[in-house]
Amino acid sequence: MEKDLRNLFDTEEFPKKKLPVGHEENFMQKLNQQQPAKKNSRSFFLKVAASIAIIFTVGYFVINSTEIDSQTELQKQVAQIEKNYLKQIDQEWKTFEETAKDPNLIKYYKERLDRLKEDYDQISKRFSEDPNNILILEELIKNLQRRLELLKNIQKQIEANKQNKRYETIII
Amino acid sequence: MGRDIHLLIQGCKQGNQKSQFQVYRLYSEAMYFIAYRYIKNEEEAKDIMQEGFLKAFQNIHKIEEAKVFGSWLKRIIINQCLDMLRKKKLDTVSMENQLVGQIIDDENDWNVAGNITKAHVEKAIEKLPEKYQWVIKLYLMEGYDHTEISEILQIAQKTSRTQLRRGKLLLQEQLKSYTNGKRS
Repeated sequence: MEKDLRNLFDTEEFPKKKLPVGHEENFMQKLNQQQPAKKNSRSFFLKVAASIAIIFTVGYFVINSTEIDSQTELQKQVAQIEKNYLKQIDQEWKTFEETAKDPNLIKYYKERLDRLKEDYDQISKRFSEDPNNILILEELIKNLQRRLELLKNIQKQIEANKQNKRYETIII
Repeated sequence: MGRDIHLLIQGCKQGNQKSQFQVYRLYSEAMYFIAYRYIKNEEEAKDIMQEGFLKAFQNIHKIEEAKVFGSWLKRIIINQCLDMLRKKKLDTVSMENQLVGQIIDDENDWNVAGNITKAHVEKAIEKLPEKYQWVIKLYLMEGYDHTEISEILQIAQKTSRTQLRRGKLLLQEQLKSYTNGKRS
């Protein structure tokens, strides 16, 4: 009696093959190494640290100078920092939009940024209610940092993917 | 399960390592099994499989629905495997010449003797020249059609059909030795 080869593999009884021992730890390691946010963010962290340090010093002097004037002074400083960041974020977004040709990708990142923006508005509100709270200020800066970081990372990935372009056309 | 995987994929999209690791746990065995069909070395197959996962996580924003994740991942891993094999370029001397003049063949005739087992077929496939191995594995084992095969291998659909037909003839030829009792 003959049989059809095409039916032979229809019923796939796996797993037949055991993975090499330690593969999970191995993968965990690779996952850790690969995380771009962690790997590439050293200079970024320095920047965060630097900006926080500036805020602390500015805050310290301002708060210690005149009580009444201090709020406006600190808030002026914050507004300046915010302005700089937003300008950078805007620039990065524009280059991202130009380089990323995938509308899905752009949509996805737009949503993520919008969400962060919403968070920012909330923190901002809290800050205006409690303008001397350094912790809230830190959160504000972190939020701006994250947005910028997100954009920088995705652009790095796009760059990396370009080198594997042939792949990307296969993987839909 | 459907809901779970949906949440996990959401987590992966946000770059959550825990979700990524859980997804790995869920799929690694099946994916390793697939990778090993192409890369006949356990360590290498594992590495390729893991790279496939990393690549998938990097590009995870490209899938809209969580339920397609499995087949999408499988496709990535198969691509990784084939790319690796292409790099090795170990294609041996073509057996094509043996078949000239023998091309009259029914595309739908995949019959072999009844005593042929899956293990026989797997062994026989490994003996074919690489290009036939690939189309046959993609067709028989992965269940891809010619549109998909031509995309994966970056060949014309016509070529995919021809290679499959020739590969099938070679395979049936190989398998005859088992029916004759000659175990090679």
